Amino acid sequence: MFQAGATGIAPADIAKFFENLLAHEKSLLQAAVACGAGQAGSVKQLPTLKQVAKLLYRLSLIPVEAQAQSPLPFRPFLGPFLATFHDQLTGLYTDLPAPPGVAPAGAVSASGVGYPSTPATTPPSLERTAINALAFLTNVLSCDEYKVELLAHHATSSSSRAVTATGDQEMSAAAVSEAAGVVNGFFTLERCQSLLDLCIHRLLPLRTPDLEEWEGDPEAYQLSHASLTREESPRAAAEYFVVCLLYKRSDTLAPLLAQLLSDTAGLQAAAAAEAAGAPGGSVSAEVLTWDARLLAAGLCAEPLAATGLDFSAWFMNTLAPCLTVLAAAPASADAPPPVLRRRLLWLVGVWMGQMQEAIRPSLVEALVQMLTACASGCNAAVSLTLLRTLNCAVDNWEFNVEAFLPLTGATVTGLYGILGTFSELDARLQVR
Amino acid sequence: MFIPIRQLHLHDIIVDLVLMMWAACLYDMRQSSDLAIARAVYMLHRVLKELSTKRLARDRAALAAVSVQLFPVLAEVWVARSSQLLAALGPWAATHSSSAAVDDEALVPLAELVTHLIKCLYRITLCGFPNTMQVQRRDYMIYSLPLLNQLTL
Repeated sequence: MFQAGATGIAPADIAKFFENLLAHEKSLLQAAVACGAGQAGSVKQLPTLKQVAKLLYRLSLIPVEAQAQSPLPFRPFLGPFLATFHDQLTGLYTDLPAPPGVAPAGAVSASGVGYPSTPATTPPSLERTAINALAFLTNVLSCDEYKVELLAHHATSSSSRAVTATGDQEMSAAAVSEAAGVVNGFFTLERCQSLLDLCIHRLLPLRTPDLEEWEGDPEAYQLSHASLTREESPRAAAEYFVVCLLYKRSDTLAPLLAQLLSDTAGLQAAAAAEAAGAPGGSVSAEVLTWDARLLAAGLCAEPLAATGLDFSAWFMNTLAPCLTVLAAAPASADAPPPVLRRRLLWLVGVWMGQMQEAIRPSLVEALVQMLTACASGCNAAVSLTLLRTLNCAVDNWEFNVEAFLPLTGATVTGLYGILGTFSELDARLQVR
Repeated sequence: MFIPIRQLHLHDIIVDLVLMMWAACLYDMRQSSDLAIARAVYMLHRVLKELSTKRLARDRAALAAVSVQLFPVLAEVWVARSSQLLAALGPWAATHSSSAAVDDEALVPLAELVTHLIKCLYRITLCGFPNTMQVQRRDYMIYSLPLLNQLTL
């Protein structure tokens, strides 16, 4: 009765299954949102709502995996699922307050602990569904099978078969064109702009639970967030999505991001606000917004460089003065997390390859001075980022050994001093 | 009596087990209590989860064989139960928004059942169907591959 190869499933049944999947997912999410709205302000999460959240995650996982495994056969369902996931994503994060606030009930999960990768959705516990929505949009954006210009790389002239990780698949020019038409029709310029705006101003900024975690144990915070994957963190998923979005629409979105970054006065004001932060005070919203913008700048280095952004000039005119202001600020154990200082150091490390050779020695010297200062007491998250940036500078192909020789003693002393400030083995391994 | 595991036709046993579960599941859908259905679906989910991780061609062929039979039944049951859950969630949400005292866990068993059904469908959809192109080329070796590969371009 059950003979191997008896593949008796009609395409219409498959199509009906995915249509049902789409319809039930939409209805379940609406029901979950309605339940969550009725539960607003409640700390304890209802068991039914918790189970529905799990179900929603499982439901949304099927189209995500199906698209990733069979991109071209999935194309009849691309349009509906793209629209659905987009609406879900915007719906789940539109009600978020400006950073560092979180959704009213999202700060605390059922276990009483903040979700490890904020921002939280509205209603809470749907973060994994949001991650799936982001993963679907990211996968579609970066899928080579939906790019007409890459058709020749997949199919040979004598056959329309393409060798994939899941076996041979048919690949015809008509199918690729149809899928590409759906994708390009969906990701219009306006939609891409709104999605970029959503990511930069809603998903990427740090939120209250992040800052509390940072204040509680800076070293553990830095180490755990450095290892977050896009499967477990909405913010990490958003980072991937921003990169794909910028590469997809680099001609229009990269200038937009460059324009955001060109607000020198705004960045200097944010740096001044962080430098003047009172002990026990909170991180201002403008600092968090600039942290997110600079994160996007580091992620999308190549599209930004293609727009003509001169990183060396930007560093000398804007970033270096900000770093100077932040480094001159008095260190205090009760001070709020140095968000902008850590981000600026990270950005310098990411863009190290783009720096002009003439300014690299002085930059390395400044980094070594910061290392010496950090050895006598500094936020561990900043210390770890500084070590990474210094490592990027030394590992650079055009690293000037002769210019570094006079700094060797100070560097070794600084590294030795900073080693004692870490308690975790993973952190100490960064000193190398 | 102890029988070395290698002397058993393991994949045949697994296939038989899956089919038994499926038969029990199908029977229970129509005849038995909600608890029996939930347990049958849960067992099916565990067996499919194990079977979908197999890499040998023979095991994959076994999964492909049962997937063809399971998919229509499970899809139908899932739609029915999910619709039932959706119909119950509306009044439940309205009751909660009015802050009335209600049984918070009343819908949990049904939601769990639908979750296990969708997990079974996940395994079948993504791992349980052979690639038609490979079937055409080498019909003696069937690999279990995504359901969407059944669609012709």
